[in-house]
Amino acid sequence: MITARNILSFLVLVLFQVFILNNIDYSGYLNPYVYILFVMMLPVKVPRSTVLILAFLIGLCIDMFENSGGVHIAATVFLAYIRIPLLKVATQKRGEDFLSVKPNKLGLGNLIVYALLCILIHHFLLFLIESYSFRDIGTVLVRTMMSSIFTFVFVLLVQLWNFRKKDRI
Amino acid sequence: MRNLLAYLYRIRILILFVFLEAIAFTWISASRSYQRSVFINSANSVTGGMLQRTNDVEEYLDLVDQNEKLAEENAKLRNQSEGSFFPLSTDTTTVIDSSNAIRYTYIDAEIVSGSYRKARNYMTINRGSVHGVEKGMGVIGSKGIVGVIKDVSKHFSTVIPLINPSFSVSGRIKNSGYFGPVLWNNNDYQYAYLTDIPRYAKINKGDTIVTDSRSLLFPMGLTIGYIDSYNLQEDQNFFAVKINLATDFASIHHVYVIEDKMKLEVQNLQSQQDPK
Repeated sequence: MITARNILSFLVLVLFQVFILNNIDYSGYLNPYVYILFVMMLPVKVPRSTVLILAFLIGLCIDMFENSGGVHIAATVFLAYIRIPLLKVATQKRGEDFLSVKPNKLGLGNLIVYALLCILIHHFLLFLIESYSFRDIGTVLVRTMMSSIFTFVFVLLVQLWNFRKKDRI
Repeated sequence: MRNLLAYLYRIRILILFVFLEAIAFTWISASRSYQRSVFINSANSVTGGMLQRTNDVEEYLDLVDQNEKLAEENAKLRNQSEGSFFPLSTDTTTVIDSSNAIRYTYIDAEIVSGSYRKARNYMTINRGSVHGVEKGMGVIGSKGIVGVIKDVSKHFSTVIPLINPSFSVSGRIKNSGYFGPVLWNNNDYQYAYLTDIPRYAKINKGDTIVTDSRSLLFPMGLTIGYIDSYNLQEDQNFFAVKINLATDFASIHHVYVIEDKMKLEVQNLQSQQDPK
């Protein structure tokens, strides 16, 4: 189920995140985390336990580079756990129909809903765990909104680029 | 038992999820503690080395910015150093002597900018009206006279130095007492001319030219320079004496502004003589 393509995208996303996006850091509020695209776009057929472990690994990689202890693991594993329900909400498909859904080939409308849900939940949890208290909830929300916008734009660009590439072939 | 196992198998995803989250939160807590003996950190060789390399590249790309910051910091430190403070009061020691009235007081000053190679040279000193500097006061250096105050602001003054054609001072040959105006003819900052010395005067090379008591700018007897050479002027009746200036305008730094406390008195007296 895990293909060379998955491993490649795992590596590319980690490197892109660590060496490019993590340097954007604009006044501490803009931290786009595009690496979650990896978890979001894993095929539906991949076993949920595998998704959880992969989410754990990619979070571990980001945490190692960011010195963030384990906040990325916590947020990303949670995203991996709720990703199927979110995908169901976004696509409005049930049962047999749902098994044919391909997260990386969603239509634009479904993609926007799915991406927004994933990004907002992940980023909110991430910044909340990072701040380690509900005291700075205002700051957490501001960071969530600002960073989510950027992550969302990146995710859309990556997906549109993927989509067009596949169309041509 | 079988039911329990079946149940656990059914919720195996949840168990895995809770297990992974538990690890994450354990590590997060550990990273918040002071010991920081954490497994996940970028000090290990793989991530550490990679981060070091990107850091090197970033540092290189950031050099312009860093230079600016260092320059800013330098300026900041310079602002705190002693040399950048501007003293608003100057120490003037006054000796009280009832048999002599004080005529001249001196204000020390530093030249903050100045030229000596131009046809019209000027200087700026770091003393102004708050220190008691006024327009028309004489300026001297440690070796000889320097010039006269032109304009005065609150903290600074400009000086017309000897090496400016606008400047003129009455000079006297120390030995013989002959006097005349000292002028600068915009050639060389080392030389000026003492003119109108009668042709019958006896002149020796190396004689000292001093300020004359007729000058209202300077106390009498201050060195202007030393005779370098002399020629008859065009009208053949007077000598033009070339003076090697005592003050080295290329290296002068500290000067004194002279306040003549009796200047007004002399000027008032002189203006009364003029029939208007």
